[in-house]
Amino acid sequence: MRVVNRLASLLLAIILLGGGLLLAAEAAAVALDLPSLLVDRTSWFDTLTTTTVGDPVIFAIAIAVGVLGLLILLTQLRRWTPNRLAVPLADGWHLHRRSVEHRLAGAADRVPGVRDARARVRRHGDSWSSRIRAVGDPSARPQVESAVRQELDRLAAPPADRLDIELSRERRTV
Amino acid sequence: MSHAGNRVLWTVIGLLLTALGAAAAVANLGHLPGIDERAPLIWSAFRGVFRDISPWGPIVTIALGLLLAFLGWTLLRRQLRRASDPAMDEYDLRAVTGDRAADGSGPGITIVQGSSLADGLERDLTRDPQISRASVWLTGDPPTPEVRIKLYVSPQAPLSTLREYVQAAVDRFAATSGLRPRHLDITARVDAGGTARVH
Repeated sequence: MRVVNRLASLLLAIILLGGGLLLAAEAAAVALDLPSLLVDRTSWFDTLTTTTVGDPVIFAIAIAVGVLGLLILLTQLRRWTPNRLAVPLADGWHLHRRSVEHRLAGAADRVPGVRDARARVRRHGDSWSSRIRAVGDPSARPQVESAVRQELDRLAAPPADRLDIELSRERRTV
Repeated sequence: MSHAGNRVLWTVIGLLLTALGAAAAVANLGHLPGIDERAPLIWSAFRGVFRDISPWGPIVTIALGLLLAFLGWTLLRRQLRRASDPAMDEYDLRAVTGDRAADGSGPGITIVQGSSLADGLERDLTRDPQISRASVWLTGDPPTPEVRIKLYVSPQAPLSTLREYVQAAVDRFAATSGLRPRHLDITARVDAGGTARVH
């Protein structure tokens, strides 16, 4: 979401810059009685003076704008996945979340008979919760748990870590 | 612009769009007081009014266009700037050592580049073979800046040993520069050391 926000802001900035300059240039063209530069002024004027507020097109546009606004609000107000996780190693120390997930998935993958492991780590207050999904015999769960816990210890994860492991015999299709 | 700044900006835009969409829908249905749903979007005599107030109509429009362009330019610059907080710039060494001469006028002044100090700390950190890359940012003002460090570390690196090494490097940095970091913010990125998927 952070990258999407930055790209959207860049796009908005370019639109404001270009649109503002175009508006100023068109207004200057009107003042100097010059022909339109890019915008067909007559056509726009005719459309805006003949379309009524109650036109169904306006209703459709209003709904689209409202829904877009709500979607933007929802994406901004929901809880974002943190980029990094605090570790109790020392004050100010953090681990990059994705790199932790890669390490845990790698640890699970190294257990014989386990493959395609995927990991998800989230922060809950001072502790982490980890979820591992992999393809393999469910009886290998204790070995996977041991390998993942070892990796968490090595990464100096908080001691009260919650660990959820699910091994399935077949690759699940999403 | 920081991630938090962008989040606030888009929350405000989301609110405005939602309010605008709702108001336009209500007006379209004829329930918004003062708005006649049979009226055109723009009053047809608008062009006459625009011409009648000449030259103020085009002047106001040009000013509005330039204001929007300025806002766009400002937003663009803020998006392209690397750090959210201003980096600690060059500083007079007396900010760290204090005036040695009794009357405050020494034989000269020494200017220290904040970026050179950050480069020095980066080089010191990467002397440890467990650290493949380090990025350091100094923000705030001397003599008590905030030090932000991003480390790319080997999967074999024990974090407790790494912490001791980093602390020793920061202590050396403080001893040589005279700066006293008021806050350390360290993010370690552990190299994958193999392929695995995350979800």
